[in-house]
Parts: sequence; structure tokens; C-alpha cells
Amino acid sequence: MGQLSTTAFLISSALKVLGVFTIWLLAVAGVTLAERKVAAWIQDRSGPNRVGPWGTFQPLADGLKNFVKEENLPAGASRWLFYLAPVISMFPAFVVFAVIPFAAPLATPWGGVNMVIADLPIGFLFIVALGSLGVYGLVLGGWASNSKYPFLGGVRASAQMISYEVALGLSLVPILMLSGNVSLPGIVHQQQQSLWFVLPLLVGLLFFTISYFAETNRLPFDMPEAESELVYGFHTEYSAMKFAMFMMAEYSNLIIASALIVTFFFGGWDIPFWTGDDLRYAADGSIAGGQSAWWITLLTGLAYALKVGFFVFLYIWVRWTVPRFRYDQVMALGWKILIPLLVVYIIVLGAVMLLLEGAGITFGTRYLLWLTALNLILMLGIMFWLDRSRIIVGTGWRQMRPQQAKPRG
Amino acid sequence: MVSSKNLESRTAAVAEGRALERHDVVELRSRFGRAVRRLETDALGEPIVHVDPEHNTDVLGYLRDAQGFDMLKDVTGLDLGGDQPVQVVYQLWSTSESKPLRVKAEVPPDRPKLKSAFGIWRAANWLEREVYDMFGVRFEGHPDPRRILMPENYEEGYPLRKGFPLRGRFTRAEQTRRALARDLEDIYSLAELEVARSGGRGQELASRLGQVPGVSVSVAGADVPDLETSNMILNIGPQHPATHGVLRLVVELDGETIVKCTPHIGYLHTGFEKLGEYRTWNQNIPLTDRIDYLAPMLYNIGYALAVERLLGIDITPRCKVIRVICSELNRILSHLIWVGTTAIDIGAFTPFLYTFQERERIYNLHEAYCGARMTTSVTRIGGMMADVPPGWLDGVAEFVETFPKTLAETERLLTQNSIWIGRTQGVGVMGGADAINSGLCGPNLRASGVAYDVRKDNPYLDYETYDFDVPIGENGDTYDRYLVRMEEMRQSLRILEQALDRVPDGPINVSDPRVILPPKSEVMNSIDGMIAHFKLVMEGLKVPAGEVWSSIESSKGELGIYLVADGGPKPVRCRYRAPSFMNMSNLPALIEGSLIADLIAVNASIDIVLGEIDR
Repeated sequence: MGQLSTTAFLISSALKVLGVFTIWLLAVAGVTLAERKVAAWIQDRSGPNRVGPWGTFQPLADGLKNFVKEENLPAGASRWLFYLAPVISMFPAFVVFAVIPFAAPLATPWGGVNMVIADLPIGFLFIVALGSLGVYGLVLGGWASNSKYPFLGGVRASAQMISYEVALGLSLVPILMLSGNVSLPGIVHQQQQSLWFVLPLLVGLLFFTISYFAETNRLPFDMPEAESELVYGFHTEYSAMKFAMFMMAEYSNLIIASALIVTFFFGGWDIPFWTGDDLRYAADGSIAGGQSAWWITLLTGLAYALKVGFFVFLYIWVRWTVPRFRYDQVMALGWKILIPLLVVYIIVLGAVMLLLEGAGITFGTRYLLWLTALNLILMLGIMFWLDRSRIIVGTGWRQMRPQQAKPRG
Repeated sequence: MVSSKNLESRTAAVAEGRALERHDVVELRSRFGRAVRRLETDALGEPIVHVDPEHNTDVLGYLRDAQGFDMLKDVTGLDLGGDQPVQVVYQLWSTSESKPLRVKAEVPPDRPKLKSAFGIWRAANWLEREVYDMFGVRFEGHPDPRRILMPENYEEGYPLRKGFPLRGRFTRAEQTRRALARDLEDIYSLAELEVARSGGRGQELASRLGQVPGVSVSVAGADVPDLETSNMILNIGPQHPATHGVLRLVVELDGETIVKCTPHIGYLHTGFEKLGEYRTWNQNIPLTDRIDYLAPMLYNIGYALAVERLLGIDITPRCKVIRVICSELNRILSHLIWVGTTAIDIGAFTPFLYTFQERERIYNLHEAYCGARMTTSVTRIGGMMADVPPGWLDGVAEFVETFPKTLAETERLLTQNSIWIGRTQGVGVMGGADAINSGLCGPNLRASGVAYDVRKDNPYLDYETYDFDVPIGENGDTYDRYLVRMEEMRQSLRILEQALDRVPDGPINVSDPRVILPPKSEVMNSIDGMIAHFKLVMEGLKVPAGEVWSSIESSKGELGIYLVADGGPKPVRCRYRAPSFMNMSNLPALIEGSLIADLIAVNASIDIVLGEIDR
């Protein structure tokens, strides 16, 4: 067993791309269905149940409908940008997954195959860079439509994405500090060896999740769409397949958000409390850490899908539960709360890490447990001191005191 | 003041002319002398003061400042046809003393002109526009003297004048031709059509109109800013997810901040008031539930009550209790859709579906009672269309028992939700005195801290015998409006419980053959019964000459119904003072200076139903 030959590498990569892309499209379709089914469940109604058993083929029917629907182009729209916008929106949403590892590496007769399409040494930066490309789709879509609601949606999109891009980038810094590398398989491996980063970076997870909610434009941060305010925001004027592409981009981003949370904080494809899957793909093509087997790869893949599925569910759950922020509240949350807090968090985390290393504790479970304690304290501080439990119990709610109207005169 | 209970003593008061000895009327007369032309009383014995049109604002200002009539409930017109003067009717109310006063000013029908009361009550703003629109009375000093319900370029005249035919002055073909001949630019101002400047469409339109960008364009009476300014004119509606019907808000935006908001209404104008003059008294009932289709029975009841007051009849005890049950069910029905749609507008979709399930149960009760779900037409003058079917009251009781659970679930999703609090507290604030002055009514007024509820202040249907509280807000913001409505639903449940306990046996309808059809057995077996039946069917109910301004507490606010009868089978004037209309007129004041998202939240929070606004 060693490194793959060039031919084998090309073939395996092509197969991975094909496989992942197919599963990805199916997953996106599945998430659209899941969104409607979960929404229906939350809202005590049936949801789609006409097409196929349990409404399973609803996404297919939607796709077909979108293919045969009329495309329209608003008068005075900028034609090329109008067509380009959904593509720009969809492209990054589909490409980011290339650097995310989704299962344990597999040893084959031709050599070890790493279960990530492209293990880029700059995986991290790739995500950040491509993630911020997506906003161009929204902004261009809003601007090119030559219509006021999309225009406002586009403006909101650009402002919101830029603000939360900063918060998102900052919330990734703690992971970088802790893991010390930018390769995603590397980060997964570190979590297998010690603790899932959800514990030592609990506060980081909080900020990351919030930022990604804003990045995916989901309720409560769906400012660019805000259907009760801006009709449908940046894609008001879109119909048929171009509209579907925006939708696919949205749901792809949703899966990516979940996938990233899982990869950074929940051990990626790691199955907890089991060392049999602690496999690692080394640069020379060998697989270290245990005996590789197809069923381990399959099992870890399933574990990964389950974890991602849970976070997709979380996103859907939140969407159908809470109201929408106001635009200025979103901006205030980003600039006045998230970014300063993240900066403080990074400084505190760095200081404690420096202390720990000064005390001779090196990276490992004990080191991470110390950070866990720090994070728990910080979390409590944020919740009960800084936030003054405004979010948890909604302080500031008023009670209505019913009273008799004055007696008749 | 006006409960059906003391109707009799009221009628006696009329006979003795006591109402005119009320100290405010006497003082008014002594102070203004000949400016007070004559005094009358209406069917309820309430005083009507006719004032000299030259001095209308002096009298009204005096009444507000010195006599405490701080609430202008209604301004409307009355045309008796021919050469008789057009009357402009001001219905006033004193919240401190809980008493009404009606002031009338008569203006010549050919050149009707009055001074605007806008400086005294801001509530007069839209009301006077409506009088101008419908009767052609010009109000001098009104800040925005445009038509309101009819299109601004409506050429057929003033619809509620007696000389105006029901179908309009133009033929249908001519109306169609004119409607089709209109260009987009006739309806929308250039600045509204102009899109992001780079699109170039605005310039193109401008050149088509022979206008040059940079020159101030004035279309349809509204001043639109220069095309060169950076403010954007945004048309919210007539088709928009959050306008709750066909409402158009022209919003001038600086970024996302609203500089100016102009509501355009009338898209759903049906002419119920004009139609009312062409239908017999009972035939009007099916029209009333189409006005506020979200609480149809309240309108049925309000209208029937007004006619009964005009007739001076007292309905049966059973009918009163059944009407109370219907009223409170409909209040819950309407508040439920309010909570749901407001939550949607603020982004929370789920409460909407929870509340809709409960509405469905009320609709089922509607259906079980009268066969219809929305267009109930459940009342008749002198009673109801039928007694409630067997088991119906048990259905209501079951609803009363199980509904609080859903109410609590809905509240759990919203009341303490931080985002909900952030979106609603301090948004669209109006203080109590302002709210009274500008005609805010119903739960909105109570949210501003004014404990005014017609059920308490001017009880009808024996509401004074029920034990319930009136919830009052403190801050007058959107959150308080939400809390008030949630609490009102609970209070409605209390009333329902008490009403269910006391439903008396006995007939549902009065036994007066001049009002209610006699039973079939009498019609078939006695000549008296047959004659009564024949006369009622062929001629309709006769209502003695007189007028009444009667009001009930509808779910949206105070629903006033002003009826004028001349002794014939049809009303001379059938005016609905729609609470949504009054609330809607305050929207610009509530939201100017805030963001688009607030506009949507506030617009939802004042609970409008366009059928009622446009009538």
C-alpha cells in the first residue's frame, strides 16, 4: 500500500467527484423536502404528501415544474448579470464541499484513498474565500433586476454578508489557534485524538453558528429576502430554473454550514468513543492509526451524514420557530456584539493557551479540558452577565395587567 | 348611556325634551347664541346641535376645550336630496364624562364648503376627506384635500349625493373605456415608476412624458421629489405580501428609513353605504358581514342593534345572550388572525398556523349555526335568523374549554421571545392623548393607556352585567397592542363562560309582527298573521323617521353605525364608521422616521381589514 499512481489518483478523484456531486444534489433535494416536512411537523400540518410515498418525490416535481416554467426578464434589467447572478450564487455553494472530509480514508489495492475530494493545504482559506463569493450572486441579482425590492434586498445582502464575513472569519480564528493547521482532515484527526472541539471552543461554536445563520440568509437573519417586507428580496424577479438555482444555493449553503460545524466542532466523520475509526491518511499514501476497511469508511460516512443531518434539522427548527430581526438589529448584533466579543474571546483564549503551555501542558486531552473549563465560564458569563439572560428568558417582556375600565360617568 | 335596557327611559327623555337641558347644550347655546341654529334629539334622546356653517370650527373647538369632548368619533355627510342642504355630521364623545354629542352643519348643496376640523382633532383628516369624496363638501384648511376612496381622477361626481345614480353616471362601456385608456403614468407617479437610476427606464419614461429629469414632477396631486434626489419612492402594494389586502403605501425612503408614507386606499371600495340606501332594512344585513369579513357577526350584530334602537324595540333576553356569545366568538376569531398575520409579518410563521386551527373551529361553529363560514348574515332586526341548533352551545363550551391551551402555546412562542420583543417594543408608539385626538380606536387605543371600551363605557346587550376586565397598555407600542389583544381573548373567554351559564330559555325573536315574520302556523291559520306576513314580505319593515348613531365594540375598535330613516322601508343614510379606517389613518404618524421593517410590523399591529377601510 502506498501512494496512488497518477492514473489511479485521477480515476479515484473522478469517482469521488461524481459520487459526492450526485449525493450532494440528492441531499439538496432532500433538504428542501426536509424543510417542508419539518416545518409541517412543527406547525401541526401534513406537508407535501401527494407526490410519491410520503411526498418523497416532491423535489422532483418541483424541479420539473421549474424546468418548464416561463423564464422572465424584467424590463430594463441587465441581461447578462441577471443570468449570471444565480450561477455565481450556486457555484461556491457547490464547490466548498470539495475540501471537507466526509469519511475515514480507505485502503485500496492501488493505494490509500483519502475521503475528501481535494485535501488542499489551504482548505480553511478556500472555504472563507469561496464562501464570500456567494454574496456577489445576491448583490448582482438584486441590482440586475432593475426593480426596487430586489435592489433593497441586494443592498441588505451586501451589507449583511460583509459584516458577518468578518464575524465568521474571526470565529474561525480560535480553531486555527487550537489546531495549528489549516487542513480540514488534520483538524478532524486532532479531534479524534483528543476531544471534539465543541468543548474547548464552546463559545467559538456559538459565534460560528450565529455567523453562519447570517451567512446563509436563513431566518432570523433572512434580511435579503424578508418576504413580508421586500416581497422576496433579491430574487423577487426571478422565476423558473434561475429561481431554483438560488434556492439550491440556499440549501447547499445550509448543508455546508452544517458540514462545517460538524467538521470543526463535532469531530467530522469521527464516531465517538470508538478508536477503531481513528484512521489517518498520511502524505505518503499510507493509512495510519488502524486497520482500514470498507465498512469503517461506510460507517464513518453515515455518522457524518447523521451529524450533518442533525444540524440541518437545527437550522430548519430555528427557522420555523423565531421571528425575524430588523435590519439594523442584525447589523448591530454583528458589529457591536459579535465582533468585539470575538476579539476579546480570541485574546483570552490566546492568553490562557500561552499560560497552559508555559505551565508545561501540551496539546492533548488535559490541555483541552482546561480550555473547556475556561469556555464554560465564559459561556456562563456571556449568558447571564453580559446578556443578562435577555435571550434565555426574554427579560424585557412586559406583563399586561387587565383592569376595569373606569366606571361609567 | 345607550344600553337597550334604559331605552324606555330614554324615549321618555325625548318626550320631555330633557336631553336638551343637558348643561353642555345649554352652555353651548348661551355662549354661541345664533351660531347654534337649532337643537334636536335623535331616536335615543341624544342631543343634536345644528350650528352655523360659518362657525363650525369655533363651536367644535369650544366643545373640545371647554366641554371635554376630546374624541371625534365620526365626521360624515347626509344628503336628503333635492335642494335640501347637505348636512355634515360630527359625532363627538367625552371620555371624561362618557357622553355623546352630535353637531351638524348644513351647507348648500351646490357649493358646499366648511372649515376643516383637522386643527382640533387629527382624526378629522381622513374622515373629512371621505366627506369630500362622497358628498363634495370642501374643507378649507385641510392639509391634504384629496379624494380618498374613489380614484383621484374620478370624474363622475360625489357618490353619496342623492342625485348620484347607484350605477354611476357613466355607462359601463364608458367606464371600461376610460379605465383602459389610462396609462400607467396616470396612476403612478413618475418617481414611483423610476427604478434604480442606472436602468435608464426612469429617463425614458420622463422623456415620454415630456419631462426632464431634475424637474419636479407632480402627478396625481402628490408632491414627488426631484428625480435628482437620493430618496427612493417605493410602492408597497397594492399587491404585496404584507399589506393584508389591496392597500398601497407609497413610501419615500432615505436608505431604509421612511421619510414619508402615504396610504392609498379604495381598491376594495364596494359602496356599501350607497347600496344601503337601496336595500330594505333587513336586506342590508348580508352586506354588513362583507365589510369586516374577519369578524362578520360583529357587523351583523352592530347593524341590527342600530336599527333596533331606531325602532325602539327591545330584543329578547335569549337573543341578547346569543348575540354576546357570537360577538365574543368573533372577537376571538378576529384577534386570532391578527396574532397570526402579525407574527408572519414579523417573520414567525408558525403561530399563524396554530391560530388558524382555532379559527377553523370557530368557523365550524359559524357553519353549524347559520350554514355559512364567513358571510354569516346571522342577525335579523328583532332577533336572529334562527335559534341556535341543538348542541351548538355545547360546541361553544368545548371551544371555551380547550382554546386556552393553544392561546398559551402561541404566547409561549412570542411573548418572551427576545426577537419578538426587540421587533415590537418601542415601535409605532402613540401616547394616550394623541391617540384619542387622532382617532385611534379599539385595542390600539387601549394599548396607549386609554381605558375606553364601548362594552364598558356605553354598554349594549347587557354587557354591564358581565364581569370582565379591560386590558390597558402603558407604552402604546406594538408590543402593548399585542399584549392587549392576547388579554382581550382571555377576557372574551370569561364573558363566554358567563354567557353560556346564563342562556335563558324562551323565544329568540321578538314577537312583534311589524318586525319579525310571524310563525308559519299563524300565517296559515289566521288572517292577522297572513296580513302581517304579507306586509313584511312585500313592503319590508317600516322604521319611524329619525336617526341614530349607535356603536358597538368590534374587534378592531368602535364600530359606529349612523342610520337615518324617513319612515320608509329603506334607510336614507346608512353610514358605517369603520374602526380600521380610523386606525389606518394613523399609520403615517406611527411610522414616519422608522424603517421599512417597522412599517410592516406597525401596519400589521393596528389590525386593518381592507374590506372595512374601503367599504
